[in-house]
Amino acid sequence: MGGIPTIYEFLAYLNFLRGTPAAILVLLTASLILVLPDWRWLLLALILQYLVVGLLFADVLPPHLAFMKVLVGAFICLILYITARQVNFGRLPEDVTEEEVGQLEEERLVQIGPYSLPIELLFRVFLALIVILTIWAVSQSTGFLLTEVPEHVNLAILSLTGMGLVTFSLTGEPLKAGMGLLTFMTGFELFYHAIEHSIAMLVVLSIADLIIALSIAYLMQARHSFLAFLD
Amino acid sequence: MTAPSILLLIPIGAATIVYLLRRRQTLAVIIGFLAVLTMALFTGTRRPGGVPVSSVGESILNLRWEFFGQPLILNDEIQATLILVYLGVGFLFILTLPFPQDTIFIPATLVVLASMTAALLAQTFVFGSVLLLIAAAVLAILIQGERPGSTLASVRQLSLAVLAVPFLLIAGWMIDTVQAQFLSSIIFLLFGAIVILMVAFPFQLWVSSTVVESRPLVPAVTYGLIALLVTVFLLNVLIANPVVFGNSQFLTMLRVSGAATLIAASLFLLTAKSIGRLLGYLLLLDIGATVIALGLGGRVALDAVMALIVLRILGLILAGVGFGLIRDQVASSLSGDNQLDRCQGLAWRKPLGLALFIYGGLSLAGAPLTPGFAGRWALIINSQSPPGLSMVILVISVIVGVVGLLRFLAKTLSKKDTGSEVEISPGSNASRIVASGLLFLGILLAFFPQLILSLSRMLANPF
Repeated sequence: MGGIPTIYEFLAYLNFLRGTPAAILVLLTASLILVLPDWRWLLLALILQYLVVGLLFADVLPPHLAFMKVLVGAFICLILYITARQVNFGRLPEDVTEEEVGQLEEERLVQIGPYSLPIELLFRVFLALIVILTIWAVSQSTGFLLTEVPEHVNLAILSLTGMGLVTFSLTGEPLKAGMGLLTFMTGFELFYHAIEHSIAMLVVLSIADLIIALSIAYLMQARHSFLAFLD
Repeated sequence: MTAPSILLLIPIGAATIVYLLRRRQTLAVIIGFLAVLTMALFTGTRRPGGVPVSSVGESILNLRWEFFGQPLILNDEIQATLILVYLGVGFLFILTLPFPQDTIFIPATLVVLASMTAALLAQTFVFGSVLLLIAAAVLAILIQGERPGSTLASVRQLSLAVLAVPFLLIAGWMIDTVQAQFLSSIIFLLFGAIVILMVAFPFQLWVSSTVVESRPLVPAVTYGLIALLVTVFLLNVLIANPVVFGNSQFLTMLRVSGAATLIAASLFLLTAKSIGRLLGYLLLLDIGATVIALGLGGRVALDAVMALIVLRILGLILAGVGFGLIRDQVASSLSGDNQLDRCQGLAWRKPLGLALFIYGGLSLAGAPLTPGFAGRWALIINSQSPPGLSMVILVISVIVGVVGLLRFLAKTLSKKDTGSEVEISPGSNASRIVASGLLFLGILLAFFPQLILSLSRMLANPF
């Protein structure tokens, strides 16, 4: 009674999420990363994604190794969160003048009933729906079934790699593209660790994920520094 | 201590020290240079065949090191390449004294070097592939440097590396589990990985962005010295899998990709509107030729690929230094985009810088009387007889490269000045002396190509 629950107890608590619900949640979080413009929501979606993917990793890896992947994901989110805070979550600096704001391209809006929505957001929602439909269709087709993994993990792999690929292809903005890359990598690792149970590969891929996150953080600083704004 | 661990710890330790001392440029250069020189000496203390040169070497240098059960071994195939790359990086570090780069240049290069060394020492290529990805992530930082603003080139470089790794890992898994029935999949996966990592068609678009957005010596690292290590890594993979490297479909796909890269680069080159893009497309011509050379297969491919990349390093150093000297005369914004229209009269303002840029560019295009011609010549004479369509495209691309550069030269010779937007900076004596020395070296190697060809043969021989 009392004390910190073990990994196995955690997994038992979250049993209701395991299997297909986890795969669908992952599809949802990856879609949110593609669609959402606000960095704070993006980071929340990413941490949620790493937590849920941990449950899927537990289906292909021993639970303690799956927990390690969740920890790596948490560190990645921490790195990105700290950097995002340093650059004011990608928003304009508070002391910027109206004249300086005037240099920036205005966001194009479209009126839908009483709401004004950015055109880019609508485009991304539309694209996300198409990708979701494609992923669903592909996951149901036997031709694209990855025989080495359970069916729900197959859906999660397709969701993460597909959404990740579309996310990083659509933008050059370091945080968004970086999250796309990390989502793609997570999907691939889910597949790769199911077929290759090497600890060395698990460690080195986790190190690679962390270094990619550091690199993205560096690029975020460069892209959103005050000097970059003046440029 | 083992040789592999020393080769990884020295650059990482030196990078940390250099980063802390980054504002003291001379000291940073000295430490960086000593680090790579030590690495070259450690690598050189090993004779081909695995015998250390001396008893001291024997006691210090165990040639094998294990990381989580993955062996890292310093073997014959990579020894000469590593020494050349370490010395080349040392030379670039010294060049940063007269031609300053970002303060992150030396530490980031050292970390990339450590990771690439580990990738080459790894005995399983799936393990090496992930180390390659780590190197690419740091390379993105090197490309960005300390420049605020656009990060497109760095983000794309990182994206391509992330995209390439799954191809390599799945191909590696298929090979390891001897899934012979998937030969066509293995061929497709390795082809995909090679064209992504060598930035050939259809992944060639970001080369020019990288050249435009990075500091002048960075392309010599990214597409020169590090590209040499990446190519050796890929050659190791291909030689270990002769079923793939001897497959005619695979080789044809490579030649087609190389030829398509040449065509795309030629078309872009004739419409280039900035010096950075011009250099980027000239570099693409060289990349296209290298991929065609790889598509020749067998021994011929090894010799030609090595010759082309070694000559590319020289061309990139010449053109990069020249680019650095003339860039400040035409830079229009912090993003470093240079419009050709601003180049009128440049030849009279910066003759030495322009001469280096043009000569380095001609070398990348493979024009006669430049060092790069030796690589193209080796490729043409080693190709099948009668020459295929890819060779015809190769010859035409050389002509297009020369025409593109002459078009630029004509603008710079025009005496009509566009105004006084940019002040003429005199440049230091040291930079002029070094630039003259480089130009002389380039001309010397153009007339005695056997010096560099024998070096490239030495790199190819152990395979």
